[in-house]
Amino acid sequence: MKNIYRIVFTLAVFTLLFTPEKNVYAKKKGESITMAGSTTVLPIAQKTAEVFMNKNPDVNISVRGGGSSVGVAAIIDGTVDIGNSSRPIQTKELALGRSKGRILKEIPIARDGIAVIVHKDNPVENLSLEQLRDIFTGKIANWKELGGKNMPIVVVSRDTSSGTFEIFKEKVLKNAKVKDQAIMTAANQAVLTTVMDTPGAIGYVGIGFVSDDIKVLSINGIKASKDSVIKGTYPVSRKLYMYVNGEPQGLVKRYIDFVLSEEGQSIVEEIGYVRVK
Amino acid sequence: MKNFFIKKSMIYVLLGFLFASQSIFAGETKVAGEIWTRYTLSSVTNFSKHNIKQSSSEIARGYLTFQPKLSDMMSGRFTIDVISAYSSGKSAFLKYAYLTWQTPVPDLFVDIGLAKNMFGMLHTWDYTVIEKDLVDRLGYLASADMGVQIYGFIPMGFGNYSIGMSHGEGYKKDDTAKLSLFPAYMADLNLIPLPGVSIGGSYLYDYVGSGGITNKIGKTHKYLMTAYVKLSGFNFVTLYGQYLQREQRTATNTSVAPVGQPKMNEHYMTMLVLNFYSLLEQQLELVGKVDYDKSTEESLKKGKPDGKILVTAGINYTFDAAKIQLNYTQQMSEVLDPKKSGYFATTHQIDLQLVWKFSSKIVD
Repeated sequence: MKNIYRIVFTLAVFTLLFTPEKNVYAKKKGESITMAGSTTVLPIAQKTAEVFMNKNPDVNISVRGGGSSVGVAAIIDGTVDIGNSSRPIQTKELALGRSKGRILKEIPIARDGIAVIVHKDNPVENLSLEQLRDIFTGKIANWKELGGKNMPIVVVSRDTSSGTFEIFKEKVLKNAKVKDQAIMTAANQAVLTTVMDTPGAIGYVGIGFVSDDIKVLSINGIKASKDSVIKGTYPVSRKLYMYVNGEPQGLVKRYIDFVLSEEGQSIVEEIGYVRVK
Repeated sequence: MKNFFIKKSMIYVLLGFLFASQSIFAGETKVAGEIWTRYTLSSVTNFSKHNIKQSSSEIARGYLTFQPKLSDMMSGRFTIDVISAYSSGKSAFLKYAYLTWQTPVPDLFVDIGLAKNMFGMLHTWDYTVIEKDLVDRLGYLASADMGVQIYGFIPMGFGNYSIGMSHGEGYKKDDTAKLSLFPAYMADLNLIPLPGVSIGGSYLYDYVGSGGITNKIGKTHKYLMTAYVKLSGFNFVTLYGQYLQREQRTATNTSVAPVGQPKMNEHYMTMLVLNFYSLLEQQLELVGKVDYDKSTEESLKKGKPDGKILVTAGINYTFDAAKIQLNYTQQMSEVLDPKKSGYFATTHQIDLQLVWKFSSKIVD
């Protein structure tokens, strides 16, 4: 029996020895915030974190992307303080969170329009929602059918862990399948670059990502803009969220309050999104 | 239908199909792999060199998984069990091969194929200890089987449910002579009335035996029932409790068929997990688990009880995509004797395991 104790003791000592120092001397709770999730929310999280850290030099905020699904999974697992998402949480995620004792609180921090973008030399200006759906499902395959050049349409979409994709699928595709030959990308920036470099391309990004290097199309005669999102006239808009476990407290509450403050919401606007307050 | 071992050429075709799917289907395929490397030291009564039964290292498990997104409503999963294939001498061994279809009903899904058995905590068991889930450890039900599962989630995250039909023999069964005559039917309900409180129960019925359907002698009606509870709180502690009962009725002659003398097995499991992430910001867990396999009446009548208690203590440390697990398990067996009755330690085992995983998403 003594041998067992010896072995267990030795292994326990080894475990402690190999435990990184920060395990034992962990940072005091409240000095740091970790965030992960949506690449659409990422610019807001990064900029607000930067300003918040400048105001509070002793605070460290770590921000990662990964997509909305990653952000929601991380807050459920308790490995981040804030999970960022560009879509509302799903029922199965709620169930998983509840089973782990998490009471996930949804905090809308901004509104966003999903801008439909094409190459800047594309002469087409406007599409109806139906035409957009037909393009992404493959029924319309050439710009000529829409009054444009005789040029094949290259569809650029987001992958399924993206909240932007979820919203686009729901609001534009009505849950239809994206055409088989579509190019699926992992981030807003990748959509932007692909469309910028491909004359026949069409894609979609959060309005915060829109730049002069591409052309934004009107949908049903309405262009994605802050005004149209605020007025509720633009058909492809959504809220952006930060998810926390329970009522925010301590440093997390201070940061969330900052994001929702006049200053935080001004940052949201500066970046190109629409304020919720 | 029951033989899941397939020839090497078939595997090449399937893998080729999956890779080719990148050009056939728009979307993405998740490719993942995991390897479980384990050292085991076990002994009778104590760890003195005379009593060591086993001191060995092995690759205990190895899986290669492809999860193609076939459409917005349909996805697939295809998992090759590399180690079982190697140890069985087969060229390939499938663990999972199923399609998941998202029905038009919100939060309702259908799995078709060689899929997870949704019974008790079997399909959610995440190996906090190295040992398998209770029903799997006892060999009452395999973790995967050929069949159809319909499952869904209760609105607002108040739980989940499933009903399913499978062969009931498990994905490893290769002996066609002993295969089930009829499908196994199962149902599972898991309620989460409060955050951190999960209460569930499952039921399975299977009719097994060989020698044709009309011959009832030797055929067995198998009933599996389980009730379980999981309590999580303070981002720190999780407590599991489970009761499992198996009842088998085998027809011994035609006059008593189809129901013969019942044979009952009862098992209990409780497990406490302490997760130190909220304190240390590192994924460090301490685990304690007790399994109690009650002696069957049959064994007690013979004076040779088969009751067992398994006590497991463990440490888990997860970093990046790897997890180190150290488990110590003591098995105690029941003894009925005028001189000494009770549970006495019979074996001790130490397992040290490294599990590492990788996954990558291929997008078109």
